[in-house]
Amino acid sequence: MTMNLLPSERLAEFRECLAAGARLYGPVEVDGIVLFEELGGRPPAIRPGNPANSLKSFLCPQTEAVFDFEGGYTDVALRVPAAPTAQAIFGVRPCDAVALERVSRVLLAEPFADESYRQRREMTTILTMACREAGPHCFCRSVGVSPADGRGSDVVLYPADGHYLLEAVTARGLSVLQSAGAFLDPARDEAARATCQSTPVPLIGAVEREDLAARLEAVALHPHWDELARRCLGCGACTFLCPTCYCFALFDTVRGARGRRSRGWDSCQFKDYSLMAGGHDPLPTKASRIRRRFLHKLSRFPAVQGEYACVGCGRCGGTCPVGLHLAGVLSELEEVLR
Amino acid sequence: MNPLVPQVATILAIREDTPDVRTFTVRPDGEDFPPYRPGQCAMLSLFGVGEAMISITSTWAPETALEFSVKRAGRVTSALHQAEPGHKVGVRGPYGNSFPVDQWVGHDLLFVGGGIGLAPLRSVINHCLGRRAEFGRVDIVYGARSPRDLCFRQELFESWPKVPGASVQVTVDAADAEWEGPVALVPPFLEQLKPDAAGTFAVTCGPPVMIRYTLQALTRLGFPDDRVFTTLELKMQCGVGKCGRCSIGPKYVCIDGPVFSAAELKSLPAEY
Repeated sequence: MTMNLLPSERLAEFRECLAAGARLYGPVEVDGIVLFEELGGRPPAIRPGNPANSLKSFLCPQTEAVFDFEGGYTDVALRVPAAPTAQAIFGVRPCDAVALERVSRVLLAEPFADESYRQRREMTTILTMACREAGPHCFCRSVGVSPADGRGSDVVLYPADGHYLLEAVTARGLSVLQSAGAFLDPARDEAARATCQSTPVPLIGAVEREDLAARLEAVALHPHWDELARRCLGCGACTFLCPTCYCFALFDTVRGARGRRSRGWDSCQFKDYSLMAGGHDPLPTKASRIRRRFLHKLSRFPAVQGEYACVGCGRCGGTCPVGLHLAGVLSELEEVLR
Repeated sequence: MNPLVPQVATILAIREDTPDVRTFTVRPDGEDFPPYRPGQCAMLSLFGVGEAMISITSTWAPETALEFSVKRAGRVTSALHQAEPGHKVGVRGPYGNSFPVDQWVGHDLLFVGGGIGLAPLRSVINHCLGRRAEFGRVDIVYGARSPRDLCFRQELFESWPKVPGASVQVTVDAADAEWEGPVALVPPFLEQLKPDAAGTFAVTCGPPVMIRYTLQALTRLGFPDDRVFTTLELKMQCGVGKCGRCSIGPKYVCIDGPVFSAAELKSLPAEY
């Protein structure tokens, strides 16, 4: 494990070094909202908590071409898009990097690894800023993620007073640190890491329970889901912003003799998500779709992958227009169980 | 290789089975379609329209074309019904698990189909009949809404009944003027036939409601849950366990299914 110190005043030079061989993204403030965008020389807006969008904008874009086609009924030629180029994302919070690791378990699973995601993941360097302060909606510790978590990151920066401790987590991270060697001091500062490791994050009792999955399955058919459905608008914002939601749809568009098959984010909260031709729908009600989301994240994904499909980033809680945040819903269900 | 990019294929022939079912014979233009097992599916697509997961109704043999029996139901299948021989389609697969045929060797087999649900069963019936000596009796029970909705008539009324040790019983929900056969829904018809459950594996596919009542009938007839198999379909987009659409609890129909034993189904939430 390689550790280095970076004086705070050299952070901009370090970023420029990253931008030399790749498109560089990071959090920037746009009209009062912090978003991950191409930095383009702007200083990153590193604030407690997370930008509104997650890294999936850069690893599984909201829409992308699977292939283009051209021809007619009896003659068709397909063309696949060019391979993605290198990108680096700076100022990622540990939970978002852990989310990539979770999503990769599904999208990279063989024998049908998601080729587009695989190529992008291989061309992406993740530079994570460990947290010294929790954001207003954060609850990472309740789902087994730490404010100093290195999973999914290539380099973790631990902020201290006057400098950052830089830790290379992967071989790619190591080569980043080597290429930026001129700005770095080979010293260590174990205190910087320890500080982040002990950053206080609110703990949510209802989420933290070890038997959470079993307790959720026990209330799977409880009428309280109907009560939640009365409040939910079905807008799907929670799923689009969630860094561990990966559902997508495929769709064709045509202009004359040319067309494109694309993939785009989809949401289990949408009415036609599982509606079949012929009218059968295994998730026919809003209540059944809300239940699907919670059970998938906290019981069924863990049953297969051993970890929650939730990293406690807090986006769903900060964004839901009717305040149906995960922690609150679980607390309500705990009341029902009591 | 991007698993979401299909092979371009050509429709070689189209057979009109019923007023809303057509069977398409399809062959990829380039490399052969990979070998597939009975019960597996493929994503069939029309460029500019979209994709649909369809069970492969043919039985694999070297250098043979694929067959898909498609009921006109939604956007993609309606467009397919407008297609003509020579038109290009996309095909990718094969996907999913398959019927555990090797587990059935030495046993009697009972196939119970309803409507277009005979399409996936046809693949495994023909596979088993191709290995005739390895199985005991092969009994086929099939029903459709009306006589004109019966699929695979040639096999139902000519080739399968002629196979030694095989039987075919056909029923319809509602008769027409010419129908002289039984008139009954499949589940009660099956119970009247009283098939012997001892040492028999049962396989069923049809509309969701027919599957539900057939599973109940098989239980009453004494078939244990681990000797009853069905094949499910749910809405699918990717077909390769990524897009999330077809999950039932922790399972995906596209990669963990579509074939499930009744015992496996009972361990899953009733979201299918």
